[in-house]
Amino acid sequence: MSEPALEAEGRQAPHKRLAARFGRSESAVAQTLIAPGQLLLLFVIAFPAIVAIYISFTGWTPESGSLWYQAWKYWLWFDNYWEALSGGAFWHAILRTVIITVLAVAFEFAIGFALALLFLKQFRGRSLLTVVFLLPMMVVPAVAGFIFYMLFQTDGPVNAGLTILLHDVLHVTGGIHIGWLTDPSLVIYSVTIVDIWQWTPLMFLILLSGLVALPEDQLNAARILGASYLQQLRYLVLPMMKPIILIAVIIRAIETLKLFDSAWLLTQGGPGDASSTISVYLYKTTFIATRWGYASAVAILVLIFVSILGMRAIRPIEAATRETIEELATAEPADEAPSLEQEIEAGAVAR
Amino acid sequence: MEDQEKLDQHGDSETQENGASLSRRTFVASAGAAGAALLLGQGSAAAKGWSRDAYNRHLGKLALSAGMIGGPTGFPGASRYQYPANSAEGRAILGLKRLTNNGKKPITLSWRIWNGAVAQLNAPYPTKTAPSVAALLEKEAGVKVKFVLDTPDDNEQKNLQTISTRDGSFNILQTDYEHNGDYTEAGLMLPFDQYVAEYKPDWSDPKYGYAGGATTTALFNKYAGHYVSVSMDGDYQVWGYREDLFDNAQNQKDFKAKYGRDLEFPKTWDDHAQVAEFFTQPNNKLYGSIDLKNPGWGYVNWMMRYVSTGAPNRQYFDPKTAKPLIGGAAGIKATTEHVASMAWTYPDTLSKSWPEQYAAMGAGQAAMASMFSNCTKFIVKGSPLDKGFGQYIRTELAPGRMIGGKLVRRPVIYFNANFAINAFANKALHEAAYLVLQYCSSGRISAWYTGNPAGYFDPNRVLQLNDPLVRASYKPYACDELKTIIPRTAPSIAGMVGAAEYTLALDTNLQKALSKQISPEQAMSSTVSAWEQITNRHGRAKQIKALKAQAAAWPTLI
Repeated sequence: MSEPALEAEGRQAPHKRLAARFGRSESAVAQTLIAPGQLLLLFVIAFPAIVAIYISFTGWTPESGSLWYQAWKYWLWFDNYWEALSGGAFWHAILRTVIITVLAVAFEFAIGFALALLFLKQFRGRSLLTVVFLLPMMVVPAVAGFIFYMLFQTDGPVNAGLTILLHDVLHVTGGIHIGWLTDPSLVIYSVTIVDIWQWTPLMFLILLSGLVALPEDQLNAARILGASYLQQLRYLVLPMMKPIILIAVIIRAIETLKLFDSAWLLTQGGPGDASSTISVYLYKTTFIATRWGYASAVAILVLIFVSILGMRAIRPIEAATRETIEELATAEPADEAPSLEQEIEAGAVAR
Repeated sequence: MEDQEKLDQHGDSETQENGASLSRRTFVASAGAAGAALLLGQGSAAAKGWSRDAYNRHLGKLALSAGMIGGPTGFPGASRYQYPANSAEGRAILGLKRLTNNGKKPITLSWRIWNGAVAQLNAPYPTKTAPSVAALLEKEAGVKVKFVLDTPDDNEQKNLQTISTRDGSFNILQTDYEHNGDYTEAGLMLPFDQYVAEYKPDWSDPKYGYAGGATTTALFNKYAGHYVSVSMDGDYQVWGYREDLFDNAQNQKDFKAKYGRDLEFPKTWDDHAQVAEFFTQPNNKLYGSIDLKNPGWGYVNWMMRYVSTGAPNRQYFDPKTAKPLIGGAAGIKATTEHVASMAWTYPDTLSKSWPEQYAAMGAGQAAMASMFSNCTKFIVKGSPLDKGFGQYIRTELAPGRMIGGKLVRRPVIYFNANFAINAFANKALHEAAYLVLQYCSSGRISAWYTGNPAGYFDPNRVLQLNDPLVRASYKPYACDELKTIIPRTAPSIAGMVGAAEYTLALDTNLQKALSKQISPEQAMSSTVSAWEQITNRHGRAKQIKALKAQAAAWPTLI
């Protein structure tokens, strides 16, 4: 029941009754009521972060024999950070991850957007194809890893397909024996292909949703005015889709920066560390080398980098949001209905 | 009647001549069981029309042999696994019975174990009517074991969680022998020297103990001179080879013509290179030697080459200084050979693990491979791994090197299912947990379950290797070869803190060398540098102490 309705019945809203009973202000009661939820949220978000930061300054590991809060016994100040920043392994892992992310997100966007544009039009089997295109996204990442592990064998279907292509289309003799999983110069591209296969559907889904929601009157107007398809795309669709594209790209970039499954399942980060993404590097450091202090420092550094990138990437969305708010604030009130005279006058003019 | 006579032999006395003790409760229970069996047996004998002698022999299988206080019954040959009071099994059972007040106060223990091994402990074997080890423990001592499964892949994470949270919910933990140092220093593994002194396990016993005796006990069960874990496995690396290829007259003729000597399983690494080269015919899908080279598994094949560069062996670290020894000529030679061996293996070897390797051997696609000793147990007719070539697989000692006129052949063992008492678990149950481990790792009981093909505890004792059930599973020729292999086996990096981290650094650099990202010299130099950092971080003095204690685990038998 709404507050005015309660008051109309001569009853007070619960928070007002509580405020009256305990002699506190309404806001104090409200804050007290939401405090448990806020504390829980703080605990869930802040506590692990504080523990990670604390441990990152130490040489603590569970195998040191002390509990985590006794990590101060192994205090190292910034040694872990210095080791990460001055060593090659961390930077190489970052570089590999960035390369995979840039390539994967670029291809996912290009393919996803092209598919979304195609699927804007009605055609026979559109619903069925939509489901088919979304299937890879629903495959468990571990299964996707194993599927591609089989596909990428040197004697596997991918090389066999390429060999057929070479023979039948290009009429070149000789078999293809690409070491998709063993050639250190290729292996990150194999990992990237798996990510593109699995996550292009998500990009497609987000972009299709955005395209469907675009105001049709503006597109129709452009069409009537004679804008070509490419002009519509460039001057209308892309600018209007900008916030949605940014959101899709940011979501995928953040997810790809954390890529673990395919890199681990295909090659365990190998050969050597040729496909070791930052997540694989962290996993090995944490669970095989059991250097939890160092791993925490690396995790904090990655969090800082990703946060900086995220903030920069989000700026255009904030700017767009700000513009929209300002436009709404300066616009005439929308709820002022035209008077009857105005309507008649308008009708007369129209006639 | 034979059965009744046996029971009568136990008679009213609780102590037998040979020192075996029999409680009145056990006697009554046995008599009751025998009586029930008698009634059932009479019925079945009548139904089957058995003679009295056959009927008596049948009943005999259901009872313990003279002087035995426990063990499985109910299947042919069960008496081999029965034990007197004065044995490792007997002392464990009597100790457990004391703790459970002869079963009146039952104890339940929680045991975390690899999913691929548990069936050897909780499934009836060798027949469906036979008991399981766990069922027998419960019946004899009132100790119920609740198995909770994990996998070799997530075992390390689970143990780290147990350490971080001081989780005492498991009384017995699954580990591997390489983590003895880390987990003991972390306080996870309870050192149990006092229990060993009190209950006298048979791990180093010449008849019932590990095949390598005290050396193997030190390797598997000790850290820094203290007992910390119990091995129930034998992940010895054997070299599997296709006997039909080596015996083939045309191959013998061609090999002699090419290399000027007879074709036989290689005794040295140089011989191995020639034989592997000879058999490598990629067009025929045949490869000379498909020993593992993938991350996390392949490093053992480098170790075999490296350790055999010294007589009686070459260690990874100098025990006096904890300085790495792999950076010299021996390490570079082993790495160079390891990289060269890429020429004789199958495609994608850097990403293929043992399931692919076993399948390739079963399909006859390779002449040789370094494998676990269970290769002759798993690649058999009717198994999905066998495509008709399992019957030809024979095993041999790893190749080696001639040093000072002596041939040094050194297999290496890694992983290996070990079990530890969780120091964070209820202290009142530590002794029971130890006794269960002593019981399960004892000579007779382990001989019983090791033959069970349902799990991957492999043989580690001469007694097992002579056991008919084990020999039937692993094949007699492989069991006989294991008697030669086990006492000559060297450890991987183990028995010191940070063992897994040292291994990871080595493995990563070997992978880089194998994929031609760096040279063998660079691989060794990078590994030495990483190892020094690890040693400095953990403390050199601690590592020196551990390495000196670990010296007892290195074989000297050539």
